[in-house]
Amino acid sequence: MANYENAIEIKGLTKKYDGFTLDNISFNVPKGSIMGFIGQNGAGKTTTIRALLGIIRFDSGSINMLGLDNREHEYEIKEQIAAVFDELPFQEMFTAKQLSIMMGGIYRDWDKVTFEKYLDRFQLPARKKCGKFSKGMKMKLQIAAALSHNAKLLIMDEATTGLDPVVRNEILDIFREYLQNEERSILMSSHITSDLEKIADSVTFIDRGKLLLSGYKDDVLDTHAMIRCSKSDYAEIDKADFISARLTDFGAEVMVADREAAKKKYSGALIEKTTLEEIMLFYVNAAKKEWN
Amino acid sequence: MEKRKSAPIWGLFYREFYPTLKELVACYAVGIALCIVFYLIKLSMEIGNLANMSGGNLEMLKMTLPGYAIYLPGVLFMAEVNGSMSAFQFEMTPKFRCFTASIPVSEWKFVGVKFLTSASILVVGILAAFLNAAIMCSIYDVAFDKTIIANLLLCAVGVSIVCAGLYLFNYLFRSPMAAVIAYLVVMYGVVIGWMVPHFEEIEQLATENEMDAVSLILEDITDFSTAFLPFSVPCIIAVLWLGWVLCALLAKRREK
Repeated sequence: MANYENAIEIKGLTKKYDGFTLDNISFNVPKGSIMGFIGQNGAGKTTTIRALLGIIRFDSGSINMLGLDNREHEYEIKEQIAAVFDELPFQEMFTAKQLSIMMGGIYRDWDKVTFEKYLDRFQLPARKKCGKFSKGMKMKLQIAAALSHNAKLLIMDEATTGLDPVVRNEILDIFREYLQNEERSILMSSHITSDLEKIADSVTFIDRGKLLLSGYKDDVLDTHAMIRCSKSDYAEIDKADFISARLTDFGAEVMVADREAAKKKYSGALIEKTTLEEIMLFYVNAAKKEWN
Repeated sequence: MEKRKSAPIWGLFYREFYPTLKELVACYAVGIALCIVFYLIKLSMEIGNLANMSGGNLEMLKMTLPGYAIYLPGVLFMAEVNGSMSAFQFEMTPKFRCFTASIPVSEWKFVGVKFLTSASILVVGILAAFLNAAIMCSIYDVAFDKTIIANLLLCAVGVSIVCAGLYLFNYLFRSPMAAVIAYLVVMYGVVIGWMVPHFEEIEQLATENEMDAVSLILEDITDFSTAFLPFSVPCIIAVLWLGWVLCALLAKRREK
């Protein structure tokens, strides 16, 4: 396998459909890290993931995964990656044991012992049809399969959607363990920003096919801030200084991208830390500038 | 870096074959049970209750029953290919297509595995049908000749068309109900298209003697299948392959 700094490198990815365009998307997922890929429904997250997996042909741009071009070295890459989806992609009549047999006949590096260890750890019955599993169990089964062929890159497409907080927490713990090996990376697409705040090293926001923001999560959270003020104070804030503002009957919440500059300029204002969810909301409404 | 070829695929064969196992066993169990029933009927016609039937009825039974015994279990064995194709429905779901794109197996190998699995099941079904026909011919003292082989192969073609065609329609219309309706329209269209030129003849014969009308239809089918015999095997392969490949290509096009 080639030496590489970034597990995924996307440059200028563009794909046009009727009514939707994935427009010049560029971001990297550094090796050994977890990238949160955030956007509302229909933003283009799944389209981007489909381009990564080669399901769709993009109109322009390039994608490198694990240091290799994803079209030239398709099979070498796919031996080393695993994808996890929000629904179980296997027929529900299979048991975990049969799944292991099937995967053993597909992946050269399939490790049956590792898979069985994960089944024990997740308390998944090996001989029960996976159609009878709960949603959480199905997700754990997918993850067990994904982690059992020495994959260097996990691609998660809304994998934690619909799971209860206990199961989601368990899954996040597994990812932390997975990333202890610095050769491994995760791209996690989700609109549950609270999960990504707990685990992501970097985040990329996408909306309506356009990249809004990409960077290290801590940097993004540190640089962005929320100004909460009255209507009269809001009137004094320069529109060029903020992303967008949510207006209420009592005042305004204003998202700024440069906390330090805002502190200096609006020293009397209440400037608070913000969350990824709020950042996403305010960026999505950036075109409107003011919304409620 | 040298490009690696796509991964081994025996896991995919297992995946294709396993879901059909239950239906396969059930189908063959019913087929074998039918064979036993036909054997018992023959015994009864010789030395049992049916032997006491009035002459005309017994003769009618002796004339018609061998046909059912030779062909009916055989069609059942061959129709089991339907079981392998029923998995197809699941595979056009978006999440499954994403999964297939994430594994190191080319799309053509994926389709090829499906084809080989269906073809294997159909070939085994055809062999079982021939075996059944040979046994029933020996039980009912009927010559196991070229006509029977031709008719069985024509049945195999028919079964392939039914199975591949139904699922192709299912995929095109994305609705099982619409697929069945469209399919029935096509099938009845074909049957009516055959019957219309013969309609007056059959009607006339049927008013004089129903058996002559039936014989005329059977003769036409037998003549057709005998003429079709050399083409039947390539036809089966082509129909099965066409069904799978067309669906895979259409699915690809939908994705783009």
